[in-house]
Amino acid sequence: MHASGRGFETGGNAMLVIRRRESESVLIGNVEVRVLEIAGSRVKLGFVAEKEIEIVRREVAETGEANRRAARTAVRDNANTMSSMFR
Amino acid sequence: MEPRSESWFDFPVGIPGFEEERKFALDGEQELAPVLFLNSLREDGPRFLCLPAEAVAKRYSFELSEEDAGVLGVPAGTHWPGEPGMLCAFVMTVHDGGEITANLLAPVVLSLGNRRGVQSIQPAGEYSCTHRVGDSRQGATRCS
Repeated sequence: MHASGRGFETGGNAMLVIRRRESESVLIGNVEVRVLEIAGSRVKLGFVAEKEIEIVRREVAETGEANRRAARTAVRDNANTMSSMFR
Repeated sequence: MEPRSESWFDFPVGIPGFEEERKFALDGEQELAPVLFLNSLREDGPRFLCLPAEAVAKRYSFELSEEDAGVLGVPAGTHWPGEPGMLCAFVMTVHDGGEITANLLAPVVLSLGNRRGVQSIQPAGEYSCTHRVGDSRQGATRCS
């Protein structure tokens, strides 16, 4: 990652920390991330990017992966096991 | 098993990972209670094992965003499993080695009033999508 700002290492990736105010933005490659509004503990962000670029909340991505994994294990034997645990 | 028409629910935006699936049926079999099957009505669509939220985590509550609440036709804000007119269930996963987890981060919430459903993503940091179940059915843990 090449960027200007104060950063530190987290796991195997670098984390860059930058302070921004409302209406200011940062660029990640060709994606502009704009701070639209700051209200209490919440920040509203806007993304300017090509339509082909998928941008999702982390929780949505995690749930998508969890759902794909869950669908693979939805077999009757597992239903039986679960039923006996919770009956 | 052919789902009964009264068990169908419309999911206007699908669910994460399966956004194209817009109709699901929630059914159960007496001999497998309390396990429920959430089946896509599309041929070859996905199927999920679910458990009613009450069976997994007591004292669980969930937030419905304006968007999700609008789909379900209920007020936005905090809700609890067992509220009249709604069903709340967790998608279950069996991992290698047999560990069973429930997705508390994203409960499936169904409205019996308008026959619509959502998988409601909870605020980050509130709940885990891999909440271990088994010998502890105590209160919902807020975890990683």
